[in-house]
Amino acid sequence: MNTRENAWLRHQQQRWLRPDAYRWIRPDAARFFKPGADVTEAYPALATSPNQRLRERRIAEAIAHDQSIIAELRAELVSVKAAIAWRKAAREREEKYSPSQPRVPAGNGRDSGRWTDGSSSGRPRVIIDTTNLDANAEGDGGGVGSGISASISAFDIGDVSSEVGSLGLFDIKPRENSVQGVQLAGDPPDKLPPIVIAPEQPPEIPPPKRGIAERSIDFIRRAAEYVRIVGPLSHAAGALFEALEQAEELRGETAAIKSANDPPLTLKELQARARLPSEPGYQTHHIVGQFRQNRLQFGDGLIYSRENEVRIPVVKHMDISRFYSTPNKYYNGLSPRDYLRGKSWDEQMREGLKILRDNGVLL
Amino acid sequence: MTMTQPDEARISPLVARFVEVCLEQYQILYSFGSTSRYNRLYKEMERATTELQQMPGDQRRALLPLLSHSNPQVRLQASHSLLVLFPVAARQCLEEIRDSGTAPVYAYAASALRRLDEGSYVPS
Repeated sequence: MNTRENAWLRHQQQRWLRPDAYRWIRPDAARFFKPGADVTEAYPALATSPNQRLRERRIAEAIAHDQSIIAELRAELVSVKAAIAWRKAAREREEKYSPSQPRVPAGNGRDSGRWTDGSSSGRPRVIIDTTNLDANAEGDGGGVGSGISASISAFDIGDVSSEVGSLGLFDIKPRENSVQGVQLAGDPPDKLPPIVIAPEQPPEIPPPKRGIAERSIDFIRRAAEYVRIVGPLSHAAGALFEALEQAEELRGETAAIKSANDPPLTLKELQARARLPSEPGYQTHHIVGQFRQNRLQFGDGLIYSRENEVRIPVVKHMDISRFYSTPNKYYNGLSPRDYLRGKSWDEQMREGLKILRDNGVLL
Repeated sequence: MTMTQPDEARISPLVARFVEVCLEQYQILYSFGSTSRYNRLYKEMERATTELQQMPGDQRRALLPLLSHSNPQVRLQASHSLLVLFPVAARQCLEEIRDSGTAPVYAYAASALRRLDEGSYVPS
């Protein structure tokens, strides 16, 4: 077939075939050709150019690379979850269960098997230590008969062990804890029982909830870097977020990772966002710092004004705060905060906006 | 009589200490570690740089290889110290750090370049 005939045939094919006809070519079309024939010659649409093949190979390599990173992150997530579960279990073991604590022996009725302190003497004493009630009572008119609150420090219900029998109930000593600040309702009895002041142990203060700075910031940084590289809207990033959201304990971190790669916004957008209800993954930043000297110099009205407040990603906010508080050669060896201390509002505002730009927060 | 150590022998430990300090600074910035520790390290780094500068022939040039160090904080601090001696290379290094987007050091590089361009900071 000469070139002219070939061109004519191509023209006829294009004329009578729909442009996406290749979609109807079965994948095993080569079976119906003479052995050794090239399918792409008959159906040029099936041919892939070298560039296209190269592109496809690169995409496949990129996907494989992404998948390997996701696998690593998944493995790390599993270890984090295991560590959290282990800590939780350890805490429960410490708080709720001690195998060495004695129990009421069997054969003691309903109390059999209950926890006891092991002693066989002692009477139950119900202690209500309400130190604040005196003040309340005075405030309400004071004393017995005031109707609402009265000073009841403690009352003793006496020895009733003989009535209850030897059920082992009184083997259990009640805790000598008292509760501060309890307000009792109702009228007090006409004659108050003798006041007994029980020695008390202050309750253990629960550890404060750890902030994001103390949590796995390394993990947030690495995950945010990964999202920056693969692109916040890529499938790889989506898979990562899906995996993170499966871990209930990492909810705060997930929000921080998501917001870390937010594109820069205009000043108006950042200011408007600060007016909205708080969002996970974001914090309010004051362009002119809210430290004491500035509050005295400019007044709280200006420091906490709409103009001065912007809402920015939490990781960026932490980085900016650290930047402000560390010495810097470019600010005469001072920290930017010290460098700006005492300067005018306009000057601090100008520098604050520039620092936001340097950090990729402000357009 | 006080023995003066030859400069050559003093340079290497100073450069090594400079790198150690920068690596620790990076760890603090990355993990939001102690600010007071960072500040102490900053002073120590400044002392090492000043000592190198005061040696005959301004031995801050010994920091030049650090512009290709693998850690961005080492590159950043070396660039700051080399702006007078090797302005082009140091500036290029700062630009690379800024453009890399590697948190948190890229913002420090961006701010340094801005202050240089504004003329707010003149390297010495």
